[in-house]
Amino acid sequence: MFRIRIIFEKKGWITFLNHLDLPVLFSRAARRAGLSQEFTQGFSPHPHISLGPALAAGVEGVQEPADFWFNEWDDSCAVRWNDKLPEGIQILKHAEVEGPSLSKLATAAIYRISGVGFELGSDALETLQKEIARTGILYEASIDKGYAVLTVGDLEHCGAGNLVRSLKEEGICEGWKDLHLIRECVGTWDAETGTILPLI
Amino acid sequence: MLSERGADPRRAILASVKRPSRYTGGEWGSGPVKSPDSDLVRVCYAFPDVYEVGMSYLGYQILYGLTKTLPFADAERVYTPWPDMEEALRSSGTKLWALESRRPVSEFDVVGFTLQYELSYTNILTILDLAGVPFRSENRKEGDPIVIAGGPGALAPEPMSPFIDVFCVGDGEILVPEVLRAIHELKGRSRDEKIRALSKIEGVYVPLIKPDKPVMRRIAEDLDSVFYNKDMIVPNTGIVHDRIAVQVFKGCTRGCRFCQAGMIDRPVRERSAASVAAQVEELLQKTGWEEVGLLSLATCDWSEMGEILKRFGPMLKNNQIKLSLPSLRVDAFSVNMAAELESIRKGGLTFAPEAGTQRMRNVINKGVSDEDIEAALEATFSHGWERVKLYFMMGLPTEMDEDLAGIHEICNKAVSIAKRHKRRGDVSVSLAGFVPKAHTPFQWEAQLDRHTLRERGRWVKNNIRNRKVSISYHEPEQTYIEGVFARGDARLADAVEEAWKRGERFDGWSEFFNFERWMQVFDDLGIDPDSYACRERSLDEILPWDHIDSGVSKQFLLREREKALIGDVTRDCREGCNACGWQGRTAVKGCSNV
Repeated sequence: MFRIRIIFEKKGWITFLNHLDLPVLFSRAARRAGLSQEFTQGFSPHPHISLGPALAAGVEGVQEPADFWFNEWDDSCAVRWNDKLPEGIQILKHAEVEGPSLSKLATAAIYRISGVGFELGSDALETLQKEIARTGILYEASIDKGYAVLTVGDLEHCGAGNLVRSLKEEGICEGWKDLHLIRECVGTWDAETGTILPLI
Repeated sequence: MLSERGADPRRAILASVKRPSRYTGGEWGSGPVKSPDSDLVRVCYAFPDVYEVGMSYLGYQILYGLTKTLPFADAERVYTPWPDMEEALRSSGTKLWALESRRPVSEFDVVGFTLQYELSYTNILTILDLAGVPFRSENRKEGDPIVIAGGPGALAPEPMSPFIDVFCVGDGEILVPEVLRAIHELKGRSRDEKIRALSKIEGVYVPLIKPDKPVMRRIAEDLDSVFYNKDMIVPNTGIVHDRIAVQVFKGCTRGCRFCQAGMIDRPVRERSAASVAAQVEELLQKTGWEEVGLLSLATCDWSEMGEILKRFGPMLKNNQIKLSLPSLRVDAFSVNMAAELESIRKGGLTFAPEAGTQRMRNVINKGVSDEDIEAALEATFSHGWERVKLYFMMGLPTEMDEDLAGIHEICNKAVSIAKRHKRRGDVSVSLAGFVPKAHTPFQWEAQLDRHTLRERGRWVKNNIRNRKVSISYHEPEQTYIEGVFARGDARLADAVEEAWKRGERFDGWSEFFNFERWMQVFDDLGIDPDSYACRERSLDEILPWDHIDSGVSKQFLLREREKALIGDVTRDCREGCNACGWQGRTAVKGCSNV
């Protein structure tokens, strides 16, 4: 039994794929690659997979985590697996891991948000800061080249949907369609250093 | 690039609709788009329903793969945009795009539709409209794609005839290469010349050129030597039938008199187990799917079924793959076969007895006896399944009260057999109104009016005295509209267009179907829908599909009709030829040596 964590990117048109469709996508690619996934027990066995925090449809994922359990694994597996993934999804890093579950470790993320064809300014930042503080935890916020860059925690309660809605309510944008959202990374918040520790 | 800030305005559209992955493409097995060589004939296969339904249609997987093997052609796809997407495209002035190259559908040489069922016709107009292609053949100009349609609906083409340039009647495996080659050879010539050339191909019907003899359906005679797909497009998201699908034979020998598919897809042509096994193995490797469906009109009748089970035995035992059958014959044999395929008895089994009494089943030539039904139910519950689903029809010719009561008897029997085997024994019944179809022995019958259908449906539903049994019946209004188009003529095209203009979409979906709107359209256009659906046809009347020859003769249909009215059965033609019209006209085994 091998527990393999992957860090992958989700870019381009496939950003519109629902988060919950990812397990099937990865599993089918794994089958195509000749990999042998471990299955769960019980009435409806399915490949044992642990997803990272939900990435909303339309949000680009730069370094997204997911854990997969395999019966066999060697150095060639990731390359073969990558070769069979559809356009827009690529595994960037992988490692065998153990310890706490991914959901316990994925406590913080960095989001970059900008307008489509317009930049976000301090009023947008303020709105976003308020929203994050309301539903989640705000670690850092700044404006960088027209993007609002936010380091947030409590990802379960604070996702892209809330952020978009808050901007819309303030009249800063019309909604999803005129925003560009990227999740730069997901990791474990380290209060001591004030940084996000990578999951691999 | 979709990722760059503000780069592609379509991103905004995708962000505003439900299930945007319906429109994003990029699926494993799709593309790549062949190099921009202006010499290729580019086909956009357009399915007249939403992505999840269209991606479950095996026909396009086969034709897509086939087209890509042709050196002079390439294939892409488009599915009907859901109403929210249609609105987003329309309001932003964005042209409908094909999934692979994401180019506008209007830029293709050919747009190919499949006519699968009557209630999908308005969706064809949606696609044409959003692609910017004029609805009517006569209004299309140079630069407009040639609009082609195939599928079962091509055998009763008239209701859609003003909108389709070219109908392909018969097997796409045979017609598509011929049609595309003809178009390729005439590259640079006018649209009219190309269409005229296509009209000369056997099996092709061009409405604007009146054929001087019936259009003869084309068939692939030997399925083992004809193209079969070695790859499939694997959706990134859930679809209706999410599995490898393989066709194991075409046609049917049972001769059920209500069944259009069984009549128009004759003769039976089987594939060998060796060929199917090789195809399945290759598809499993290429696609990553875990489940395989063996498709045909009656898979339990496949003579190579035992052989396939032997070949897949080891893989099935290790749970490497899961085999599924689309439908089960009503007898113990099929149930035993299903039991071999499923180690866990999940859910229940589905059967289609179609009628409640032996007499009624004899009328429709559904070769299922009371003993068969009992044996099937016994096998089901003794093997461990907990539930059954049963399909029946109402409004069949010569139907009487006893026949409807017979449905209750079968349900009660199912419950008591289940009880004896200590199963839960839930029985769910789906009751459909009978729609007489073109090219069948019942094509002259009157369809029951919707009020009577509703009465009968209610009677069956409300008079079952068994709380284990739940009965639902199809919306009689949808059945009625289906009946109008099933035996329609070209006049109905005006109704399709007008209904579309007034907002009809996705008529097969009860959430969108608007009966009053259809009736208003008929009224405003001076069309009497009853005369299409409910009128009994006289036996010597010229029918709007007589110019299409399915291969089965009218004489045969009339003979079968006579036999139906006295409850006389016709044997399965594997047991001996019934002279349906194919005898001597094909090299197919069983028909050729007559």
